[in-house]
Amino acid sequence: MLLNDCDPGFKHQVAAEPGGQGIKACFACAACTARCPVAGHVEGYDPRRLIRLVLLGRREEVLASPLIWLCSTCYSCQEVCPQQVSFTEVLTAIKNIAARAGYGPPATEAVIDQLAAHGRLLEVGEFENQRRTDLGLPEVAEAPAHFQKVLGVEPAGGKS
Amino acid sequence: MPEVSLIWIEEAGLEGLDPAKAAKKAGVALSDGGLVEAAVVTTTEARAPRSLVNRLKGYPVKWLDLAAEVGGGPLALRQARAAAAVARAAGSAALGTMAQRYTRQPNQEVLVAGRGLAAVAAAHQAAALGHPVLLALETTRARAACADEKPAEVKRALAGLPAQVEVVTGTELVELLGAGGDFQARLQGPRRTSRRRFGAVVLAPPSAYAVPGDMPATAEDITLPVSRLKPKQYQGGEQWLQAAVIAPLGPGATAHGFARAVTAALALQKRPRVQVTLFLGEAKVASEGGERLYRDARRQGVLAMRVEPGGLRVSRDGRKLSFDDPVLGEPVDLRPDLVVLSEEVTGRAPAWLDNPLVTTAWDQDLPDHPRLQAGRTARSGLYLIGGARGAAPGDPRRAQAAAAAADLHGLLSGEAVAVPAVRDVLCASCLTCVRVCPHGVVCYAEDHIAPAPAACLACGVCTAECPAEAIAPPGWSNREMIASLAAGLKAAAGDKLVLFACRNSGMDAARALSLAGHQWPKGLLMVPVNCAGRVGVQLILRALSLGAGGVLVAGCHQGNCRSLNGNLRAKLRSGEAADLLAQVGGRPEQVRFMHLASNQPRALAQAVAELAQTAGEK
Repeated sequence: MLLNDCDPGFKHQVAAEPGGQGIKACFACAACTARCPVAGHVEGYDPRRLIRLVLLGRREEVLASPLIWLCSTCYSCQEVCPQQVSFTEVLTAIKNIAARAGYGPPATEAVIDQLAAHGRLLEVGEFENQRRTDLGLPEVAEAPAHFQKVLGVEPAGGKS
Repeated sequence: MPEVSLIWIEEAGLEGLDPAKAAKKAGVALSDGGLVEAAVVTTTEARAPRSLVNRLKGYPVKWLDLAAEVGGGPLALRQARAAAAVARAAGSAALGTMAQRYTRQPNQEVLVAGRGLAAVAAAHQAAALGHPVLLALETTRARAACADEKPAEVKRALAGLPAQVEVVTGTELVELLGAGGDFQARLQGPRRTSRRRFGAVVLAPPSAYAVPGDMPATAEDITLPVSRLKPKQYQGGEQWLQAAVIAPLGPGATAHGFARAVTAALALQKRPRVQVTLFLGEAKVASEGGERLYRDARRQGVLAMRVEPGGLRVSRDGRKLSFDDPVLGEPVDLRPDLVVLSEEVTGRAPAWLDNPLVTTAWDQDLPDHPRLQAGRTARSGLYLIGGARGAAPGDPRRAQAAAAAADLHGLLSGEAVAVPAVRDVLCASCLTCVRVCPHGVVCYAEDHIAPAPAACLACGVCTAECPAEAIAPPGWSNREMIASLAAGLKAAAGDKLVLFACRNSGMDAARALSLAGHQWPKGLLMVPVNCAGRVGVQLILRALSLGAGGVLVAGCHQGNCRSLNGNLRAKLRSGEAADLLAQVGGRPEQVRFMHLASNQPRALAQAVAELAQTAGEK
């Protein structure tokens, strides 16, 4: 890796985001990683490593990483940090930046696709409406246009 | 021969012993402390009543730590050992010479040579302690500051010097002979050379900042030392400006050097679109404000990169740094637009200080020796302070100067110290004593051996090494020691053993055993020495020829000797004596050496028991 190719501004951007102020104070002691319950269950999840990637300025790698969405917000890291990095808050800041840049947690992205396509979390087709009729319930229609407007996304191949 | 009296002081460890019996067996008269010619007192000078100490001043007195030498066990055994110890002490008291005959008053004047805050502070402190001081500045008053100091601060300090400090400028110290209490200095002034005598000499050679040798060599056009960095000249454009600041990486790194590197990194990082990567070996944050400074730098955005020694590599063209990120463990490259190398304070000791006749056995690496703190050198009375000892500018230099001044004051104002007596008729001027003296006391001047008056610790290394028996601190000549050995061994009973024990370790261990009631072998004669280095081949062989079945020499542990290497000399000489024994058909195991600390009495007890067994085998 060539350090010149990284983005030194990334850490300043995270620090400027509400909650991200403490990021630069980190001196890599790894108290957060040692305490983190998620790190013990998910291979590759390592708060100290995530902080380091931000400090080095490896923007895309951080924002695109599925790992940043795994935090359980238990605040253990924040409690043990000797430099008041407040990593739980920092991660919220990172997630906000990631979301604005068009990245989201993979599961949420699937949900958004579903809402944009169908206006609901479940696709409603003829089978479902037949069942409702049998039970004496009114039929429902898919109305995704409203969600598409709210989510600001184009219809993703759903029925219009 | 003077008549020797025994002055018996009752104290713990002597219970039940009969002073009259001990005196009779040792052949001395029992005294109540009245008028004496020579005396043995059964306690140490420190524990004796003040009135007695004052009354005995000027007499040949042997202070005998009898409680330590008697030990525990049956009364008859303790009585026998008491008699032997008293007899030994009486032997040396009878031969003992009054200390005054060998005493010279130390010169009280102090020479401070060099420049900078350390020199001025040392002159000030020595004057405050009452010594006349000559401050010899190499330069003019206006240029007295070292390259790493603020001229105004040094000027202020110079202006505040008291009247009894004589300041000469443009004057260098070019030659120095002698030791504590009597130095002969040659000073080269702008017009003439002068010779003067001083009691103590403080050297404060000029200091400067320099890039340590372990810094990587990067391309010249992008590399700067910290002292030449002007942060305001730098800012990035569309591309970030990448700066690498390299803090001292090697084992010689100091908190001061680290703080200067971090300060530079912080100033650069504050510039627009500049990214600083700070390379460091260890975060040296022990200095005042160091921790806060390091945190401020990180908060500003400085990227701290800890590298192992040798972990920072430079490409052949000097424009690419390669290292491993300490957190990710991945190889990282950086092509810096600017490399800032941090500096440490260094000072060069003057070349003439390398002269072995000036520095004696002092290896230039020795300043870290625990005995050589507070600016002390191996030559007693000679101090080396300031940048030459790695002291940072400012208050650390003042503190070091004050420590040196306090030390020299103690040396010069102490009671007149006995100096080694040289018998010129025997001396062949072979200079062995000059070479071996670990304190630089013995000097050769004006065609004869001239010991300095205030520097001797009476370690006796010179006496042990002198081939002509021509030099000895008062009371420690071969003649005196052999007489005391002879008397003690004559009074001892059973298998006779001799333990030469250093007062700084072996004697303390022996005393601890004795007071705990340890049962020493009946025929053991303890001979305390100021340093195991006093015990030479001749003394060991004489002990054997006087009837000892075994000799044990107990010296301090390696690197712990108050006389730098007296313990190692003793080890060497014990080995030589054992070899000689083997050559003449004797048993080399009769002579032994051991390293010992005060808190290892059990090791001593075991060694003495083993020696007793060897002696008993015959």
